[in-house]
Amino acid sequence: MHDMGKKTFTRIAVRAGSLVIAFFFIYSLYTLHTNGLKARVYYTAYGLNDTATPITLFKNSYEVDTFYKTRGVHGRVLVNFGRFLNFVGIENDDVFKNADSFPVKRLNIMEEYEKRLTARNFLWIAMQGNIIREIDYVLPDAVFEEKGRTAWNEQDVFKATPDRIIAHEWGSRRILSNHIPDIIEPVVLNIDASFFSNTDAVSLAQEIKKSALKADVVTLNLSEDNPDVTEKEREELRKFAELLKGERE
Amino acid sequence: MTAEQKNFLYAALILITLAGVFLRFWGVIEQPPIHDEVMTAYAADSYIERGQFMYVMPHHPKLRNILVDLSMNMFGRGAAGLRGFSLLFGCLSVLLLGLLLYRISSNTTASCLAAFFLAVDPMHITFSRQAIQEVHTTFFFILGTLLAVLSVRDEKEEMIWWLLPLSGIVFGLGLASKGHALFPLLVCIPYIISKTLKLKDPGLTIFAILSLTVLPLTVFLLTYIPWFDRGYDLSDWLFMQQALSKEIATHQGSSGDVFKYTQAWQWFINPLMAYGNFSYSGGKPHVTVAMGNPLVWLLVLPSSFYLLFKALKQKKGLIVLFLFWIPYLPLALALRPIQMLSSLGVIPFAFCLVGLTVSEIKMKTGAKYFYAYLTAVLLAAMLLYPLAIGKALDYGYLRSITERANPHTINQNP
Repeated sequence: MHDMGKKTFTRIAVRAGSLVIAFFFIYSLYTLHTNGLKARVYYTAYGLNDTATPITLFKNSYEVDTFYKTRGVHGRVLVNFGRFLNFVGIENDDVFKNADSFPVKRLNIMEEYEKRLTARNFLWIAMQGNIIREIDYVLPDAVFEEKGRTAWNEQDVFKATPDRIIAHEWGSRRILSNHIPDIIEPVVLNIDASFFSNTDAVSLAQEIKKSALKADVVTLNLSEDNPDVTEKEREELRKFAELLKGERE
Repeated sequence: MTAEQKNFLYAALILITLAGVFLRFWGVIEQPPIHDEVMTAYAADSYIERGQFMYVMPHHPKLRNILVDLSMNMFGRGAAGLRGFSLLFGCLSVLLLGLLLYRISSNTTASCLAAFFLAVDPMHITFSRQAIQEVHTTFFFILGTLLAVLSVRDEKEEMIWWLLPLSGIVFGLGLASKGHALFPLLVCIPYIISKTLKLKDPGLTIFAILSLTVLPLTVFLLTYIPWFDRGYDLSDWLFMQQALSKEIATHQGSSGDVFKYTQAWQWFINPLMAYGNFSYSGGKPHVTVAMGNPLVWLLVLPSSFYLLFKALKQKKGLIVLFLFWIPYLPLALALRPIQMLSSLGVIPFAFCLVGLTVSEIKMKTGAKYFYAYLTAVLLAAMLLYPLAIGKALDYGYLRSITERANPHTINQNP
């Protein structure tokens, strides 16, 4: 009788256990997914041909980064027009020097990174600070072709096709292309002066307005901190800004 | 098993574990950290505060960051705070391995031997004293396997309802430490399912499958909470896992790695394979060299072939062989370099094979050779011990081994 009772208890327990495990799994999936979505900070988004789209012109990468932080941008997809990737990681040896002993020094790592912010690394730092979670680069044709030629040899390239290269920074997507991506969620848009190496303000304005992208944060970066960007390219970006402003007026 | 035999087993395992505790704790506070350990502290900070994967082995799962953060909060940012969980898990693994082999084989001598080999193994000692995840993974898969085996003990179902989910949770923690935990789990799943099928209750079989598949996956997933807080969703998670799996499959190691010693098929053939690490503290260099005890490691493959032959003849005893070969084969056949620290995903079960074989030899040849062998193993372990505790340069007789593990020397003749 006692054995029978034990057996019945076990049978009930395993069935209840199966339900609990299944529920726990589904609940975990749901909670993690929704918490991820909730962590993204969005503002009112506009189509890129909408005159209400807020557009701000900045002198350099530091100003753009400060703007993102001041606005509280978090967990977003960035669409970046430019000739450069601005994604050169900061060397650990530079940040953590003289730290090889116990007790291990406490460091404000983001502060250390931001002290070293330049045009070369500002998007890498923005990803480290969780301002952005994915970058979709729109590159000039020649730059994209060059990247495509060497993509197969890059450790961080996940997949390369003729029209885009999917790379990643420890699992965070960095997609390289020469055309505007189709992204459903509102994006943070950054247009770097370096993009105008091979195009002009009018053509880009027309192309951008045709796209289905929606953006709530739009920054134009003159990249005065990047010696590889020419004054002519900056002038074209200023024209691009004027063009957009003019159309609003 | 009589009560007396049981008491002997437990007493022996406790004594062996205490020896293991001594070897792992002795001087560990004064041992300066290697670079990877320091980076582990920053990796834990970055992961907990910002969900970032940076600094040390970012392609591997993330439980280590959570555990190191927890222990740093409890014991500070010194040796105890960083190495706390490695020490704890390293010591407990010795005891658990003995219990596991006993549960599988009912062989007291073999169980004590397996525990003893692990307790004095320089490789396991080295990584029990370092704040990286190798020993964590080993601990979790030994415990997970033990709980799984215990849950179907004597093919009764009384304890299955709580032991099997516990096993699933522990395997999940193992998977969240390093992928090596997957292989023992892959052995346990069919083993447990075949046992539950004999009980002729489909509900029990479904429960077993859920416990050993869905539950570990859930635990694994939950260790990514800080990462999801960066704004990622489940589709991003799947992409991240694919991208990092590709990275793991093709990882070539860091620039200073030693190509000569990164072929896993050689682990149990070449007794002088070693993995060196260097730190500088108190005005002098400290070198740690992780290597196996040749007197045990060289017996692994002969033992496995002997036991395979025996198991095929007797149609039993295959599970230990599976537990060894299923994790070892992918490493041995890998085209990418496999560092010696990955041997911790294999050696517990390798030691079980050697333990089983040596116990048989003892029965056939008597105690004299057995104790001579044990003494030799212990002596070799003691001679190699300074390598495991950062004192490789303090003893002249170890110089040639240390030089062999020096990346600068070896890279000249890769």
